[in-house]
Amino acid sequence: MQDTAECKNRQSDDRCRACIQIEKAFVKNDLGEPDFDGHRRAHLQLIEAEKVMSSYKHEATKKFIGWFVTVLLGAVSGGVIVFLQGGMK
Amino acid sequence: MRQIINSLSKLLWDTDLIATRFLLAMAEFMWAFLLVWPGETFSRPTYNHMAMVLPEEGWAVIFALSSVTQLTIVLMHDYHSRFARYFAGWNAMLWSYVVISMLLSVYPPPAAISGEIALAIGALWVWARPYILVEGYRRAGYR
Repeated sequence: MQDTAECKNRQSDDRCRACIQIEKAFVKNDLGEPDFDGHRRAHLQLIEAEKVMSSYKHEATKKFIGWFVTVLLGAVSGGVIVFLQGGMK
Repeated sequence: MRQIINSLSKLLWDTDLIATRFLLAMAEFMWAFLLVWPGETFSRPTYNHMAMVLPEEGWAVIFALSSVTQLTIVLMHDYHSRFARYFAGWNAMLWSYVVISMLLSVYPPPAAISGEIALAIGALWVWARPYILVEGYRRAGYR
């Protein structure tokens, strides 16, 4: 019976130490407490920013594809015109 | 199509440009080396425009200096300093000029400069990408 109580106390101490370790990982808010909510909000902001960044990259990639196709078509058209002019001579 | 855009987006934006810089450094070294090789390289019509700007030795010095600078940037991992950014701009101009001058000097366009055209595009990308990304970060609210 005594052993069981001691075991529970030890488990409780371990959990307590783990909690303290976790709390140390967070910056303190203006009340001097670990800022759990600020941490959550920071993550949400990062996720949103990453979505915007990803969409920006995709849009820019589409523009580059457009430019590349335009340049390619221009070059091919130029070649075709030169080829036709050569054929007419 | 979405898969292609995703792949291209990763290729354009999420890869490092160290290999591109290293290739540019090697190509610049080879240009310098071949320009100082005995003989009149600039007697060929492809180099007419470049020959009007500087003699072979002058271009060899420019390419050698560019190669050493590029290699130093790669070896020192100094990709984002002000100097590295200015150098990327200069390097993009150098490669663009070399390609355009050769295209203007002879007709039909020489197939042998396909590699140079790719390197010029690479040099332009090394210079331009950080500025395009900064605009994206600004829109995303990164500080």
